[in-house]
Amino acid sequence: MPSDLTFWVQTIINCLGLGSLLLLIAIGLNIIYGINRIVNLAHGSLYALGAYFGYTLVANGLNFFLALVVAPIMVLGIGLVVERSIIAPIRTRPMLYTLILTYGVSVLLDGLTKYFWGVQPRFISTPSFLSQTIHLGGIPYPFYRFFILIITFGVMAGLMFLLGKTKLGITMRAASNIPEMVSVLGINMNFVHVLVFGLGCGLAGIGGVIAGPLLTVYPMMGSEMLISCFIVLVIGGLGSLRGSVIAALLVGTVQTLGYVFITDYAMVVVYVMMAVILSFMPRGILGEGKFE
Amino acid sequence: MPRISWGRVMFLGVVLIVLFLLPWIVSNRFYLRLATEILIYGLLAMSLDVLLGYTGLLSFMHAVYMGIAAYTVGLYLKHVDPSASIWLLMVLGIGATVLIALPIGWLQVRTGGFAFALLTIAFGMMLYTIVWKARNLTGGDDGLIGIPSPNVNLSSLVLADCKDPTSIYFITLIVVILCFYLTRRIMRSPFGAVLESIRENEERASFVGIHVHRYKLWGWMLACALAGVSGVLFTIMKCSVSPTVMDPGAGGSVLMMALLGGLGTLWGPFLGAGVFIFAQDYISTMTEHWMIFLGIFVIILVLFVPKGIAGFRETLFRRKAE
Amino acid sequence: MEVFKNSLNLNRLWRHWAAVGRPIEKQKEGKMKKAFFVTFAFFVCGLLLVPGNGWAQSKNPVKIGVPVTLSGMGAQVGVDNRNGIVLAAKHKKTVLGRPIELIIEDEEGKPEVGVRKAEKLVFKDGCIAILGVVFSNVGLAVAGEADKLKVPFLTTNVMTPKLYGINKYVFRCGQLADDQTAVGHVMGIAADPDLSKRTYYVLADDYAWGHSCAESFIDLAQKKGIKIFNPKYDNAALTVADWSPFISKVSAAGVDGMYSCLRSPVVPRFTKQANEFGLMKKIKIVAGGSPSEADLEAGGEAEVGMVTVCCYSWDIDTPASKQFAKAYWEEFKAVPPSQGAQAYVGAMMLFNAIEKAGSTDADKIANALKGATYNGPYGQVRISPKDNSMRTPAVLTETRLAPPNPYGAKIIKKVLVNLKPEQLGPPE
Repeated sequence: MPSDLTFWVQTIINCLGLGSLLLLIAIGLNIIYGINRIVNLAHGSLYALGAYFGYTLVANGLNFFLALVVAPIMVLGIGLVVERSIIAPIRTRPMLYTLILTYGVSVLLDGLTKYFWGVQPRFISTPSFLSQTIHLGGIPYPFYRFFILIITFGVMAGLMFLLGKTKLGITMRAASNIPEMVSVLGINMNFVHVLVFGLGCGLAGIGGVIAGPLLTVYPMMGSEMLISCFIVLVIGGLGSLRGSVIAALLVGTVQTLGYVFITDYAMVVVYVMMAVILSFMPRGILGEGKFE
Repeated sequence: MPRISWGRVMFLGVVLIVLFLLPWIVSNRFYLRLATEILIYGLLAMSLDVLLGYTGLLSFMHAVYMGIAAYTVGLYLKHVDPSASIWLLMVLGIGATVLIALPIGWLQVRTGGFAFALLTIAFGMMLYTIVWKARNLTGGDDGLIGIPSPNVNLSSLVLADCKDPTSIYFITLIVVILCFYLTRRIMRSPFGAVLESIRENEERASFVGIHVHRYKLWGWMLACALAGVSGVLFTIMKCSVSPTVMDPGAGGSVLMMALLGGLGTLWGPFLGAGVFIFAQDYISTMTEHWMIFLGIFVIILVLFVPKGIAGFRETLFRRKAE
Repeated sequence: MEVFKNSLNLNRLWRHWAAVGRPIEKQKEGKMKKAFFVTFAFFVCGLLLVPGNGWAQSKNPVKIGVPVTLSGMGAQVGVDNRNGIVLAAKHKKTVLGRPIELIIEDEEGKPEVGVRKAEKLVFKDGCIAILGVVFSNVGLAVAGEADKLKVPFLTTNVMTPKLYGINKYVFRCGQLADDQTAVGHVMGIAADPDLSKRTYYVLADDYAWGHSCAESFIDLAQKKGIKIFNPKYDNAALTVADWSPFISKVSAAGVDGMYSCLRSPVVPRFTKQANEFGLMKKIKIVAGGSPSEADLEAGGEAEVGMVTVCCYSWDIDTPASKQFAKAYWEEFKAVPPSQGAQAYVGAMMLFNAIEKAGSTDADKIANALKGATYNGPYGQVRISPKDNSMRTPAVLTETRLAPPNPYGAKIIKKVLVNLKPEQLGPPE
C-alpha cells in the first residue's frame, strides 16, 4: 500500500477528475430523462460524435476553444434532426419503444461515425498551456484535468442558473412534473421538449470535446461511456441533478480507488453498488429520482 | 375454447412439415446450422417474451441466463463426463440457471418497470464479469472449446449422434417444439392470465388479491428456465462457449429479436430471431458498415411496425373483440 | 372471424381494414403501414444493388475465406491484416492457373460469429482455405472446428501458445506468438546496458492475450535476471479509459521501466496521459503489445521512446522491404504497418502451398504447408512441421521521430537489433 503524499494527492485529484468528467457527460442524459421522460440510448453516440467533430474542427485549424463551442452546436443540430424526425412520432407510446428506437439511432450513428472517420483512434490537440504538467508543491499533475473540473463546474453553474432562475428553466421543471398544467397555461409543450432535447445533446457534445483530448477519440467510446452514465444516473436518482453530482463523485471515487486496490474486480464493486441502490433505494441516493 | 379454423390448422401443418423436412429441402450444411441457431435463439427470445410480453418485465441482459446453462453443460461435458446423457445435461443446465436466477429474481421483482430493467443490467454485468474473470474455470474470453458432443440415448438405444448436423437439428427442433407447446399451455392457463393482469396494471392486480411479487417471481423463473434450455442446446450445437454469448450486445440482440417478432405471442420471437440472424449475417457479408443498415432497420421497425411481425394479427384480434 | 376462413389472404385483410370506418388516426396508421411496405421494398432492392463481396466476374476462381475483425475492439488490426492479404492476392494474381478470389467476412471478434462465418465460407461459399482471424478466442474456436470444416486454416494474427500443433489443418504464420514475443523482448532488454538495469512494472489488459503476454514475459524475465516489480502483474479492465489510477500506481512504485501488455489502440492513450503526469520522463516503456503504425501516428510525439519487437518495420533496409512498403503505400495510402507485412507473408505462404500441392485438396495443401518457406519483406519465414507454427526473423525497434519519408509518417520504428529465427524459437 503506497503511502507517500504524491500518490495520495494524485489519487484524490484523480477521483475528482473522473467524477467530474462522468458528471459532465451524464448530465445531458439526466436532463432529457428528467424533463422529457425519454431514455436517450443514443446519448453515448452523440457524445462520441461531439468528440469526432471536435477532432475534425481542430485538425482543420480551428482554435480548440472555438471548437468547444462549434462542435456541441453541430451535435445539437443532429440531435434535433433525430428528435423531430424519429423520436417525436412515438413519444406517446410506452417507454419501451423509445428505448429500442434510441438504441437503433445509436447503432446507426456509430456506424456512420465508423464510416466517415475509420477505426483508428484520434487525438484532439489542445493548446500547449492546457496540456502542460503543473507542479503542486513538487507533485506533478496534468493541468488538463483541472480544466475539466473548471468546465464541469461552469456547466453545472450555468444549468442551475438556467433551471432555477430563468423563466425558461422553471417552465422546463414544471413541464417535467405536470405537463398538462403547463400546456393548459398556454406554453407550447412541443417547443419545450425540443429545447430540452437539444440542450441534452449539446451537453453530450461538450462532454465529447472535453473528453477527447484526454481519452482519445475512438469508435467504442460512446457505448463504454453510456454504461457509466447509467450507473451514475441510477445511483443519483433518475432526473435528479443534485443526486447525479453526488453520484458522479461517488462512482468516480469508487472506480478510481477500485482500480488502485482491487484492479480485477473494480467494476464489479460498482455494479454491486448500483444493484444495492436500485433494490433498496430505487429513487437514488437523495431520494429524488423519478420513475414515470 | 377459441374456434379452430381449418385455415389455421392447415397453416400450422404446412409449417411443421417444412420444419421437419428442412434437412432435405436445404441440403447445404451451413443453412441447416443457421436454422438450428435460429431455433435456439428463437427459444431464448420466446423466453424473453414470457418475461416481457406476458409478465411485463423488461430485461436487457436475458442472454446471461442462456450463458449460465451453456457454460455449466460445457464444463460438465469437458471435465466430468464427455458422454453424458442429454437428459442429464438438460437437468444440469436448467438447474444451474434456476439456482442462480432465483435469488437474483427475488431481489429484482421487488422493484418493477425501469428499475427492474436496470437491475437486470447490474446483475447481468456482474455475472458476465465473473465468467470473464474466472479464467481458470471458464477459460476467460478464450472460452471453452473442443467440447465433446454427446449422443442422445434412450436407455441403451442410440437415437442420434451429435456430430451430425441433421441429428442436432432434429433434437433442437423437438425440444423447441416441446417447450413451445408447454409454454403455450402454461400461458393459456389461469396462471398466464394472472401474469398478463400483472403486466396490465400491477396495482389493480394486487387489489384483487394476487400476490404480485410471487407471480412475478414465477414468471421470471419460467423465463430463465427456458433460457437455460436454449443454453443447453447451444452448447450441444456449437461445441464451444465463450463470454460473448452473454455480453451486453447479446442481451440487446435478444431483445431486438423478441420485439421484431412481436411480443405477447409466443411464436413471434421465432420469426424475429430468424429475420434478425439472417439479416445480420447477410448484411455483414455485404458490407463492413452493416451497423448503418442495422440501425436503419431497427428505426423503421419501431416507427412503422411496432408490434412486430406477429403483431399484425394481434391488433386485428383486439379490434375485433372490441 | 370471417376474414380468416380462407387462410391468410393478405389482400382481403387489407380490404377489410379499409372497409371498416376507422378513426382518422388509425387510417393514418394504415397509410403508414403502406408507406412502410414501400420503403421496405425499396430498402430490399437497395440492398440487392449494394455491390456484394466476392461476386466474381472471373471464371472458376480459387476461393479463399478471410474472416477478420472489422468492427469492435480489434478493428484496426483486422484492417491491417485484411490489407496485407488483399495486397498478397493482388501480387500473386493466380494460383493453379485460376484467379484468386478472397471472400472477406467480419467476425466482430466474437468466437461464435467466427465459427458461423467460417462455416459459411466453407460450406456455402465453397472456400478451400481459411486465412486471417485476429483474436485468439476466435482462432481457437475456429481451430476447434477444423475437423468438421476440413480445410486448411492459416491464421496471420492469433498469438496464443495454445495454437501450437492443435490440429493437422491449423497453421500459424504472421504475427509472433506470445512466447516468441517474450523471448524477443527479454533478449532485447538483456542485451541493452540501459534497459537491463531497469526494474519493470508489468501492466496487462484484462483478457486472454494480456494475461498470456504478461505471464510469458515474467516467467522468462525472472529466469534471465531482469527485475520485475510486480510478478503478479496488474490487470486493467478492457473498458478503462482513464488511466490515472494506474499511472499514479506506477509513479508511486518508483520504477524506471514498464512492460506494457496493453493492446495497440490503448497504448497511445496511456502514453499521452502518462506524459501529462510527467511519467514518460521517468520510465522507459517496453511494449509487449506492439503498437500498430496507425496508432503511433495518432499519438504523435508522445509515442517516442518505446521499445518493441515485431516482425517488420518499414525501417528495414533491404530491397524486399522497400518494395513491400512502396507497394503497400501505393495501394492503401497508409503507413506500411507491421501487421500488414505479416499478413502478407502468411497469405503468400498459403498461396504458394496451394501451388505446391497442385490441387485444392485440404490434406495436400496441409502437407505442402508443413516446412514451407517464403522469402519476404523481412527475410525468410518457415513453417515448422513440428507444430505447424512459423519460425521467423524479427526486429527489436524503438519508436523515434521519423526522418523525411514517402509515407508522411511522423513516427518510425527504428531497428536496433536483428533477431534470428533460431534465437526466437521455440526450439524444434
